[in-house]
Amino acid sequence: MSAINTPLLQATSLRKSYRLRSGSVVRQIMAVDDVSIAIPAGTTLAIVGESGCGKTTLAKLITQLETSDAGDLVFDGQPISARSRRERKAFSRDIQMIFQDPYGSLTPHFRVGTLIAEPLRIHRLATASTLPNRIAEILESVGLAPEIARRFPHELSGGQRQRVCIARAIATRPRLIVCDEPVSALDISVRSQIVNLLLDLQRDLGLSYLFISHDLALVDHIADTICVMYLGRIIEQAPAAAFFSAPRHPYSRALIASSPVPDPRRRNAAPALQGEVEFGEISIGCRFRNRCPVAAAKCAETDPPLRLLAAGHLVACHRAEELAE
Amino acid sequence: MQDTLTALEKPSVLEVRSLSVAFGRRAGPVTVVRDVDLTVGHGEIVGLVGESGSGKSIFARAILGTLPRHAEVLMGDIRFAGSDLRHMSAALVRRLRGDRMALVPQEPMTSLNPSLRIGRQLTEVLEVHRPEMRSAARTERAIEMLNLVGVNFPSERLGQYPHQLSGGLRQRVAIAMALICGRVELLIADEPTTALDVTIQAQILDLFVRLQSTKKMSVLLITHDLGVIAQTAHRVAVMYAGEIVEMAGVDDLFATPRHPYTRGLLDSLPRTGGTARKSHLPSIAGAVPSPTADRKGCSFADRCTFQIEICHQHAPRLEAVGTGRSVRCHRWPELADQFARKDAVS
Repeated sequence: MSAINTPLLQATSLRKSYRLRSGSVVRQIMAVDDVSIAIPAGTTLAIVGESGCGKTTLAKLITQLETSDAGDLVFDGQPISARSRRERKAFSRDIQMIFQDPYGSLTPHFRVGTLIAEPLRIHRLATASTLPNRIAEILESVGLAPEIARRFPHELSGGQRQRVCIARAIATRPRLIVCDEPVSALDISVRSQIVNLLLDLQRDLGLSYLFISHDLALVDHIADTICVMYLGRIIEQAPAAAFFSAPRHPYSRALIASSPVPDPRRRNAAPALQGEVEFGEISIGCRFRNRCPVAAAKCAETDPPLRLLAAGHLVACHRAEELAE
Repeated sequence: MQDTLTALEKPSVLEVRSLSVAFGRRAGPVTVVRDVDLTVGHGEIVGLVGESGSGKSIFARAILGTLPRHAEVLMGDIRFAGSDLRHMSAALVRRLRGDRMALVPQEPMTSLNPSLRIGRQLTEVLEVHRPEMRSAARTERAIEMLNLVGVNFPSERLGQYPHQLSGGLRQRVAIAMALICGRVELLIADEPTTALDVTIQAQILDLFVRLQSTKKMSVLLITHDLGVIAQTAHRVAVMYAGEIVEMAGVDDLFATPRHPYTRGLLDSLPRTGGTARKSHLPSIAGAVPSPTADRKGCSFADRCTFQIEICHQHAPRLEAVGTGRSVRCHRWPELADQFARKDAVS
């Protein structure tokens, strides 16, 4: 990782809480709690974690679909909060998003050509005369024939639809794409085609990805940096190779041990973790301690801060050093 | 392997022969399950893998006698513990379902009734299948079952509604419901962990394997996830476009796949610490054919790296290739060498 000097995106201490009302009781849920990440240009940062860990909320904060309660977002050296309205529009061109469900994210009564033209019109990236050519070019770059422009989303397969979503995202020539589980709704035989397309686009266009996924094997393959989230916090962050060869947080280890390996000779022993995520009351101490197989007295008293263990390797666990042995 | 062989010697719990299922359409019926042979032996976990639209869920519903109204079995036999389900009256099949054969569905949020308390839903199964049981005994049995499947505070849970439980707990309740009569011989689990997080998935799969071995049940596990199959199944059937294209013991299937589709699926999976980071993953070109498409020849031919002329002209038959293995491919003998060599290199 040589390009670490000035990251393309730097998020510092982001926070977002939601009010949850059940009956007359209103609870405050910290969806993202003091999260900092940096994505160097041309690299992929993966966020892994289970449902409710805050990974999608983090994506929304970064794409400005939600505003954070606190924290700073700096894109390309410029704080986003300091930007004028016009600059923010330009910023929305620089960051695009791809969602999990290619069925739900394309308006069904628009033809593919219209869907791709939309971002080009909004950002004035094509004139009426250049538009058809530009659409054909974009379709070609995602591996679709120009004729697809005349089709409706329902006439396409799941893989083709996801290609159209990617085409829409790259139409504005963004520099960062936030991918929220982009292949998990696709069939296995199509999944690797889309993964390969994302890898090609990164290489050819110098894109950065914030890649949200629960598939550890996939993330190992495509990411430079891995962040693990648990109940709104990053509990481990490391270069992919270091993370998978020596995960330090007990939760990261449990995630890796729970992933079903497609090899019958390597069957998992007993489940690595008992119990489930407990939302709500984050009191004192480590928020993972109730499920942690190695929790000690200290873990109930103080919340472990995210601290540097080795180059680029951050862990929020009191016992990370002893457990490494 | 040992398990597989002993399982094969005993009579089968489920025996399906040449089953075809079609959806009626004005333009003519569309066959979504064609000519499927599958047996599930006593105490065996058989995995059925396939992508969306492969016909695996419709196959399960045909066995359970719960096909949607516009679908029907065209031909074939379904035998459960020796009796012919296809020609059994609907009332008799209903008596079996939930008692001697049961289903664990994918999303228990949609299969559990949102407006009924957990306790009511569990005891209802007993009211239907064990009318002789007294009400207090039913409640006791419900608590016992929740305990067995690892639901904490079981007596309190009886008064709760499905939406008050997490996804993992709901799936445990669905399993308790499937097993509550205590006489289940065949459990059909249709993507039972797909909606769950990995750590919860590991707990539920472990529960399946433990229940299966202590209760000596047979399980038909339907999934698209080859990892789940590798972790739990004894034997595996691979389904593509309504047909079984390969059937083998789990070790054999993963070590030496015989069908190009199986091979392609296994190759396309990213593996931790495996391939070079950010390199292209092997992929299968194209997409699953539409069930309405005309077919002549092999259903996988258009996407197959090894297609030759004959593949487009004649549909291959499911051929036995050694004990307990079969494959539907014209070229399997030559490819077996090729696939094996590839294995030796890697």
